[in-house]
Amino acid sequence: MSYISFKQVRKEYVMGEVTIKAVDGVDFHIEKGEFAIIVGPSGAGKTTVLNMLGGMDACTSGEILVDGTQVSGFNARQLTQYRRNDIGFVFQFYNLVQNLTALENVELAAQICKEPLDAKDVLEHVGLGHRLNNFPAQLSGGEQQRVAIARALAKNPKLLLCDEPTGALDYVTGKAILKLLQDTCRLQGMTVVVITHNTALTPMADRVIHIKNGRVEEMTCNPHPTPVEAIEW
Amino acid sequence: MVKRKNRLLTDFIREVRHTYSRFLSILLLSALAVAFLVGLRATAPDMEYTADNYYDSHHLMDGYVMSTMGLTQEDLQALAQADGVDQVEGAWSVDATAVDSIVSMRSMPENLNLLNVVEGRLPQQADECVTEQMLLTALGLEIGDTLTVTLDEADQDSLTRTSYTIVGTVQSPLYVGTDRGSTTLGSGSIDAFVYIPGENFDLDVYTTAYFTGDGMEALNSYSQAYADQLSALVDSLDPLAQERASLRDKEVRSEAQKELDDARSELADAQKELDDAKKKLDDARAELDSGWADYESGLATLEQEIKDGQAKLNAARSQLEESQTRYEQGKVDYQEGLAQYQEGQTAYEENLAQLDAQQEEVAKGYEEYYDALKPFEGTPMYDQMVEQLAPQKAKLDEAAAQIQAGYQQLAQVKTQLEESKAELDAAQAQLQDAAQQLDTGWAEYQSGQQTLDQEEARGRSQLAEAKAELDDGEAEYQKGLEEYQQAKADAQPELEQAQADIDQGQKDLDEMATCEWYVLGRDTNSGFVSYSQDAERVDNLSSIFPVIFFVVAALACLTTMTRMVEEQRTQIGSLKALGFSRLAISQKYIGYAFVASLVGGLIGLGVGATLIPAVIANAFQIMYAIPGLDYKMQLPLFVLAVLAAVACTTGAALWACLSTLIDTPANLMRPRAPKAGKRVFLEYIKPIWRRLSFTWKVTMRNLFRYQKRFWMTVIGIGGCTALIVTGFGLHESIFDVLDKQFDEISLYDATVGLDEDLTEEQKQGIEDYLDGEEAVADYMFTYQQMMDASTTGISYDVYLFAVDDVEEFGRFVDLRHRSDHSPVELDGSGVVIDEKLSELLGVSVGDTITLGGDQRVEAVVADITENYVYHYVYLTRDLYTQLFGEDYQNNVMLLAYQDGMGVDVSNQTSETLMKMDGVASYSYIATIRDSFEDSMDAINYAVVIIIVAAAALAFVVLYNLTNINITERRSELATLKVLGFYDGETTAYVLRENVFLTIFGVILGLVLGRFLHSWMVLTVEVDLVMFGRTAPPYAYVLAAALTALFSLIVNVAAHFRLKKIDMVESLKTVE
Repeated sequence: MSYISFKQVRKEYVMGEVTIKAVDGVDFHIEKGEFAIIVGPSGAGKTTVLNMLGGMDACTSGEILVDGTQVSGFNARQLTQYRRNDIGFVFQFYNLVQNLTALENVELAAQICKEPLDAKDVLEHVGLGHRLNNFPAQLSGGEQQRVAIARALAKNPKLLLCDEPTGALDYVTGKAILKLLQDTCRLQGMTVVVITHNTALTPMADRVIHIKNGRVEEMTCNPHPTPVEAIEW
Repeated sequence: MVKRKNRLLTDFIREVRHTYSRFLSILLLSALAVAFLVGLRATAPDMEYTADNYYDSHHLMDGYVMSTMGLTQEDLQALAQADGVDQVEGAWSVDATAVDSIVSMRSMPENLNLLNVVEGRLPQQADECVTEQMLLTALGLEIGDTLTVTLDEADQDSLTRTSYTIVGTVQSPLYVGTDRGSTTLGSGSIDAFVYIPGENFDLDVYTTAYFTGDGMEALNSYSQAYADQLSALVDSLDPLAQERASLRDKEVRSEAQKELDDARSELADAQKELDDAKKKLDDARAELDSGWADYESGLATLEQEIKDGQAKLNAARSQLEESQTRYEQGKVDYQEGLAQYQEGQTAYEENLAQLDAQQEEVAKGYEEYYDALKPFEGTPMYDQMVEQLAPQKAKLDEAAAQIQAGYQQLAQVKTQLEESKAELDAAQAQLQDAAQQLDTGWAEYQSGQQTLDQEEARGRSQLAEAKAELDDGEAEYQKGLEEYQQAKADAQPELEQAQADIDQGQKDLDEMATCEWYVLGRDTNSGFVSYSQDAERVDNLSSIFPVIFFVVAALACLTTMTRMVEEQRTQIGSLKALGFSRLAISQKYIGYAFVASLVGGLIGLGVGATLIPAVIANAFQIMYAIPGLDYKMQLPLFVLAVLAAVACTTGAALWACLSTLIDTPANLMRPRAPKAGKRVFLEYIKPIWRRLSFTWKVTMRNLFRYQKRFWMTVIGIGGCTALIVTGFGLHESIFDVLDKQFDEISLYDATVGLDEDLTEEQKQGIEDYLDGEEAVADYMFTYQQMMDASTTGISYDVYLFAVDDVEEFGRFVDLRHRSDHSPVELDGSGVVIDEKLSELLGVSVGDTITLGGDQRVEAVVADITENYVYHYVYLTRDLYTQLFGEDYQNNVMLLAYQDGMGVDVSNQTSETLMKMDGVASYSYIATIRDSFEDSMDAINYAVVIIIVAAAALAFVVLYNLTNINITERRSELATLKVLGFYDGETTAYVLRENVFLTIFGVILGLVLGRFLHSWMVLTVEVDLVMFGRTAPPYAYVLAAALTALFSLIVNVAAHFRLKKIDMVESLKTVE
C-alpha cells in the first residue's frame, strides 16, 4: 500500500453546457518520504491533481488515498481538517500574509496545527534566522518563498505540496529553493510533491509523474536522484 | 466598411454583469443618498409650494383690514383704490355657540378665501351652511343635519337666522392650522368655523375686509420676495388706514352722539310725559281739593242755614209753644175761672137755695113760732111762751137777719159772679184770639219747617250730587294716580336705566378709543405662519442630516470605485500596452461609475422627491387643512443632488483611473508591490502588544495597515450610528418630554378655573364634592395668571403660579433641577422660572426679568426648574404681594385623580364641576398632551424616515465595506483556507476586524450622535416647548445595537461569501 495513491481520479468542471474534463482518470502512487515531481505542459491538469491531493478541491470520481485515509470521500470540513493537519502548501506567488512578519506568517500556520514545529526553528532551518521580524515586503522573492516553505513545514505536515515554487524566482534563487525542498525531503523524510512544467528538474526527483491532457502519461522512478546543484536548465 | 465592434463596450457591459453586486451597491448608495437628500430637502419647498398653490387657487387674501368700528362700503372702496391693492372683499363674522362648541359664523366668500369642499356642496340657500368635519365629529352631526347656534346677548341681532342645514364640509385657506382664533365667548378660543350665506348677517358694517395685492399671487407665499412685498403693501396702506379710521371715527362718534342725543331727548320726552301726567294729576287733585272744599263749605253753609232756620223755627216754635202754653194756661185759667165761676155760681145758687131754704126754714120757724105762739097768742103763756119762745124767736130773728145778711152777701157774690163772668167772657174772647193767633202761628211754623226741610233736602241732595261727583273725581284721580304711579314705577327704572345708559354711553363715547384700522398681512394668520414654521422645522431637520448621509454614501461609492480601478490595474496596464488611449481606458470605469451613480441618483431622485415629501406631508395633514401635495420642480436641488452623487462616484473613478494610468504599462501589468506590512504604534507599547494574542496582533496590524479603509468604515459606521442615535434621540426628546412634563413634573390631571368672585360657600361646595369623589386623589386651590415675561427684547407668554403652600404645591408640580432632579426651593427670594424660558430670555439665577400683565414688575430669578411644555413662573404669595403690591384670590384649582383614572372619569367630574357655581372652566391635561403629541407627529415622521434611512445606509455601507474588505483580501483569505483554517476561523479573522471597525465606528458615532442630537434638538425646538436636550441612554444602546446587528448580518453574509472563496482561483491571481 502506497503512501499516496490516485485511482482513476477524475475531475470535471461544468461550465454551463460544456463539461471540461480537467483530470480524466489519473492513476499514480507515491511512497512515503519520496520527492515526487509532477510534470506536464500548461493545462495538462497537474495543478488540479495537486489541488485534489492537497484537499483544496474534491474529485468528481475515483479514489484518493493518503496514508491509508480516503481523502476523496471527505466533506468540506474534513478537507479543511486534512489541509490543516496533513498538508503543507507552497505556492508560486508565496501567498504570504503581507501584514505579518516572517515569523508571524509561520506562526499563523503553526497556531492551528496539532503538533507544530517551533516557528523560529523552522525559519532558521530555511535560513532566515536573521529576518524573523521582517515583513514580506521587506524580503526578496526567494526569501519570501523560504518563508512560505517554513510556513508549510511548521505545520509538521505529512505532505509538502509545492505548486511551481520557483515559477516567480530567478534561476539561482529557484535552485536554492529547490535545494531546500530536496534537503527537507532527504533530511526530514518529508514526502514532497512538486509541480513544475520544467522537465529539466525531473532528475532531482525520486519519482516523476508525467501528466498530459488530464492523464498520467508516464510515471518513472529514479533510484538515484541528482542533487539540485548538479542540475542545469 | 465593416463595422468594427467596440470590444471595450463589450467589456464594459460584461463588467457590469459580472460585478452586478458592486454595480448595484453603487447604484443603491447613490439612490439612497440622493433620495434622502432630495426627499428631505424637497419636503419643505414642496409643502410650501403645495400651500402656495392652495392659497393661490383659493385666492387667499394677502392681508385683511379690521377696524375697531367695523368697515363701511366706502372704506372698502377706498381700500380697493389704494395703490398695490388688487381685490377687496368685505366679510361678516360673528361668534356663536353650537351646543358646547364655539363657532365663528362667517359669511360665504365671494372671490377671496374660497372654500375647498371636502364633502357635500356649498350652500345655495340662505338657510344652508358648510362647516368643518371637526365640528361635525364634535357635535355628532352629519351632512344634512341641522346646526343651531346660540348668539351671545350682545350679538343677538347679528344674524337673522340661527338654524342652518349642513350641506357640506369644507376647508378654508384662512384656517390651515388648528388655531381658529380667539373669542370673548366661553373658553375664549373658537373651535370651528361655519360658513353661511352673507344675507343672514344683519350688520351695518363689515367685520373684516380681505384684500389681495397686485401681482402677489404670482409670488411664492413663503418667499422672501412675497414677505417683502407684503410688508411694503401693508406699510403703504398705513396712511389710508389712518385717514379712513379717523373718518370712520368721526362718523361713528357723531352718529353715536346723535343717537345719544336722540335717546336723551327721547328720555326727556318720556320724562316730560310723566311730568305732564303728574301735573295733570296734580291739577285734578287741586280741582278735587277745591271741589271738596266747596262741598265742605256748601255743606257747612247748608248746615248752618238749616241750623239757623231751624233755630228760628224752633224759636218760633218755642214762642208758639210758649203762647200755646200761655194760651193753654189762659185756657186752663179760664177754665179754672169758669169753673170757679161756675163753682161760684153753683155755690151762689147753693147758698141762695140754702138761703132760700133757710129762709123758708126761718119762715117756717117763724110760722112754727107764730104757730107755736099763736096757740098762746093771747095766752099768758104766750108771753111766757113768747118769753119761752123768745130764744127761739131771737134765733129766728137772728137767722132771719143772717139770712138777710146772706142775701145781701149773696147779692154781693152775685155781682161778683157777674163780674167774674164778664171777666171770663173777656178772657174767653181773649183766648179765642190767642187760639186764633196760635193757629196762625203754628201754621206759619209748620210751613216754615216745611220750607226749611225742603230747602235742606234740596241742599243735601245738591251736596250729595256734588259729593258723588267729587267721589267720582276722586276715584278717577286715584286711578289716575295709581296709573301714574304704576307708570312711574314702571318707567322709573327704565328711565333711570336709560339715563344711566345714556350717561354710560356718553362716558363710553367720550372715552371711546379712537377708531383704529388694523391692516394685517397674511403673515399674521396663525395657520399660514405655523405651517411655514413647521415646514421650516422640517427644512432645518433636513439641513445637515442628508448631508451627513450623503457624505457617508459618497464615501462608500468612492471607496468602491477606487477599489474597482485598483483591482483592474493589470487590465488597465494591458489595455494601455495595447495602445488604447487613456480616455478610452478610463471610459470604462468612469462610465461604470457614471451609469451606476446616475441611474441610482435618478431612481433616488424619483423615489426621494415623491415618497419622502408625501410621507411627511401626510403627517402634516393631521394638523393642517391643506389638501394634497403638489410636487415642486426644484431643478437646482434635483440636479445638484444627482450631480453631486454622480460627481462623487465618477470623480473617484476618474481620479483612481488617472492616478493609475500615469504609471507605465509595464509597471501596471506587473503585480503591484504589495502594500508593505508595517509595525503599528501599538507594537511599541510592549506590555499591551505582548498580551495580545497572535490573532489579535494580526487584526491590529490589518486595521492600521489599511488606514483608508479604516477611516472609511469608521466614518461610515459612525455616521450611520450618529444618525440613528439622533433619530431615536429626537423621537425620545420629543415624546419623552411629554412623559416627563405630564407624568413627572405636572402631577395634576386637570385644571379647574374658578370664578373671580368665588364665595366661601361655593368653594365649600366644590370641596365637598371633591372630597366625596373617590376618583379624585388630591386637589388644591392656587392662583394662575397669564403674563408675559421679557428682559430686553421679545416677550414670551408665561403662566404665573402664585403659591400659598409650597409643600402642598409640590404634590402637584414637581419643581426640580433637570440635571440631578434635586428639588428647587420656592421661597421669597425670587421667582422660579422654567429652563426654556431662561434660555429664551438669556437669564440665569440672580438675573432680573420683567413680568407684565396689567402692570409690569421686575423680579429676580431665584432658580430655574425643569419644564418642557409652556412657560411657567412660580412665586410665593408673599413675593407676589410684595411685587405686585396687591393680594390675589385663588382662581384655579389643580386636580389630581387616582392612578388609572381615564378620560371618562375626567368627563364625569368635569360635567359635575361645570354645573357648580363658581366653576368657570375645566381642562384635562391629557387633552393638552394629546394635542402636543399630534403636533409633534409630523416631526416624528421625519425622524422615522431618518432612522429608517440611516439604518438602511448603515447596512449598505457596512455591507459594501465588508465586501471590499473581502475581495481585497481574497488571496490572503484563500491562503488561510489553504493553510487549513476552518470557515469559522477564516470568518473570525475578518470578523475581528469588522467588529473592531464597528466598535470604533459606533463609539465615534455615539459621540457624534450626541452632538448632532443636541444640535438637532435646538433646531427643531419651538419656543413653547423644550425638548429633551440629551438623547436617552436607550438611543445610544439602540443605535449601537442596531449597528451591531447590521454588522452581524453583514458578517454572516460575509461568512457565506468567504466560504465560497475558491482557493484555487484566488491563489492563481497575483495580488
